[in-house]
Amino acid sequence: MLRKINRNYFFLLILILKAQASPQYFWGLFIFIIFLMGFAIFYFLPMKDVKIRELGGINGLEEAIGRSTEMGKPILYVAGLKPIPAVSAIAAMNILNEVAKISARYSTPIISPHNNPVTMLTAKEEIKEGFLQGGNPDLINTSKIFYITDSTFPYAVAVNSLVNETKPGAIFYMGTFYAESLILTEHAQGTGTIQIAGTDSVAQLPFFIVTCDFTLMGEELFASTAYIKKDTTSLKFLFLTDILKAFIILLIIIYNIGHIF
Amino acid sequence: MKEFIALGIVLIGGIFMAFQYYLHIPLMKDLYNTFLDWGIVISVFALFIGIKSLLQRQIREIKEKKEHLIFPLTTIISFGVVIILWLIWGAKKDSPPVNFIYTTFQVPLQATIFSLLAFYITSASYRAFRAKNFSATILLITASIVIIGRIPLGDYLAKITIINVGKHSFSLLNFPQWVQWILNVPNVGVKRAFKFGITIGIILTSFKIIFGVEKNWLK
Repeated sequence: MLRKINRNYFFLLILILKAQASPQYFWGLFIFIIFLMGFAIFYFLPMKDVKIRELGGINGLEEAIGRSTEMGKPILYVAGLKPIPAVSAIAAMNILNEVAKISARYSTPIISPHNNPVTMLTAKEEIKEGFLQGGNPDLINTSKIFYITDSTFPYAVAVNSLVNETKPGAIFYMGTFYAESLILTEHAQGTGTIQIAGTDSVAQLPFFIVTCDFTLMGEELFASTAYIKKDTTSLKFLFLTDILKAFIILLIIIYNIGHIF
Repeated sequence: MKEFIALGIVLIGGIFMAFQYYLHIPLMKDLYNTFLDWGIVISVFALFIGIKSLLQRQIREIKEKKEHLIFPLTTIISFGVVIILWLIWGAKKDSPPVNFIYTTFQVPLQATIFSLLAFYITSASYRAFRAKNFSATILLITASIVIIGRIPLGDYLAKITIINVGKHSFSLLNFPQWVQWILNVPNVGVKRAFKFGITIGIILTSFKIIFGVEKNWLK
């Protein structure tokens, strides 16, 4: 037994010795310290009566779905081009759940075309759960949540064709988008539908701002989960984001002051 | 129990993936590459689900006898033809039929859609550049400077307005230089601020996923 443990220690020692010295060790240690500090704050933080800045994009969800219901039209949910392991896709799925809950209350069907099969499956489950939580399980129609293609432009054309065909009352674009963003939104703009977008693609933000009624810009997409759920853990993480930002801004200022002198 | 195992794998895998980037240990790099290969294998299985969903929808549309039957029929026929050709000649990029389909159909069609972007940008700009309020007016002025600075007129104006003051000469309407300043200073500053916020948002959301606070991906 002792010999076995010794052999394992020997193996571990070889691993450490084989490791190359690199400046990245410093950054690893630096991030680890920030990580520990963050979690220390996280655990001891009393989160009561915390106010979050209003997010127009999330507040506008109910208005858009309500308008769609008045017009007797379905809503269209486009979940970006990055597949589900991407953080933006996970944030998009959280918003989809909220959209499904509101749609269930208003009895409005959801159409959701996807460019990734895994995202499609997750979206199906999110919509099912949203409709169950919204108290309208009879309205679940998984055939309206489907896969089209992985290719960017064929996907954009298919979504535009769906817009022409179904004439949705509201369209939501959440997640990461590339060159197709303006092709999608400018085309739908012509149909007079309400459009709400949320993206972490900095290059596509101007296009969404110009063509959509509401836009969740950058980090707002990730903050939307805490804004919707309003549970203590999510709020703590949101607060932690701000603390981290303040800390890094402080480091940048100190570095620049040091650079001047 | 299933959820507990999945969350355990994510916790260990997530911490490992984060630290392997900072620690240059060969074994960790090998494991990282193996995990990436596993990801590719899993995505191949997911593709079958996608094909099933695509065909189901097209067949449903044909059964329901919708107005434009040409579209689902084209999709199914194209799908079948490409699969057959790939089975006969092999799924290599340089095989003649696959190359033919790619260069004759796919590339021109994609280029057509991409070229539409120019017209969409024009119509979106027309709407955005209306001086409705103070912010829109600033946008309009800035955009006008950038447009003039990027066309030959900008260079021409910069040349004809050069004046000499003592030993120094400078242009009164140096649009190209103004454009460079707009792009390098306010534009890059705002972009970096966005990227900074997004990166921290992604890091914290990743922590939420690793520590099981965010679980909707498990469904």
